[in-house]
Amino acid sequence: MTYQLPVGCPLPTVDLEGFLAFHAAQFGEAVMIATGTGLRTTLSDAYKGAATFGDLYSTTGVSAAGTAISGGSPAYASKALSWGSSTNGVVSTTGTVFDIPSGATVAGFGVKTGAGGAYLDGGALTSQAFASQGTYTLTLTYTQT
Amino acid sequence: MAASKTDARIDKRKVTMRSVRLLPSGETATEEATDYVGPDYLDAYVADAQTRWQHVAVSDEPDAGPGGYDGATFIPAAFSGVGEDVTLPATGEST
Repeated sequence: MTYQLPVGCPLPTVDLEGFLAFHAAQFGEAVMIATGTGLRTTLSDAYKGAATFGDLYSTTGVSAAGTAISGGSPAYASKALSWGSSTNGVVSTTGTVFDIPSGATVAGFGVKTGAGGAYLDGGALTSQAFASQGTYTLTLTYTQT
Repeated sequence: MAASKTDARIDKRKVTMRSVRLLPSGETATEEATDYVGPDYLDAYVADAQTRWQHVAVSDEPDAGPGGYDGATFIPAAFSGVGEDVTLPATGEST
């Protein structure tokens, strides 16, 4: 049995014990869970393969995309994320530099499937209102547990 | 042509703020914000930033940043002295 998420589907938070019980009851078979570093690296590679672009928001982005920053010169834009190699399920981006216009407040971020792609994941950042045109550099590390 | 850092009209300072945050999803976010702040409310700006950021540094030399000395400036209500946000649009003097 293979469970496959549709393209663009946010990565889920799984109740593992509940899932195993559900599967056993539904299909009469146990599920083998591989817990080695190889699987964790495969999963972190899947995360970096899906989360190819990043955005900064004026609101926190946790369960859905926030309000993207806009304006400025140089103008704000979504940026491609440059992920390194996964090691034992851990993978990091290099620092991604976003141009922020005067008057904008950065409060959250999101990762998505492309420049105009679907939101996948995100979170709150340290809130900062910008007095002048400046920059916000974000470095993400994903850890597959 | 953009004004040089030694232009006497430049009185803003570069403020660099850094933090590392552990996210519920297991991600770690390393954040660095760089802003350029005028002298009239620099101290208040830095004091406010230090309540949220783990590290805040102010440049020794004046630096107008990518917006230039004539770029737009935003002063939050907490620092403006007039009880409301103040936005000073870009003057375009250097163009």
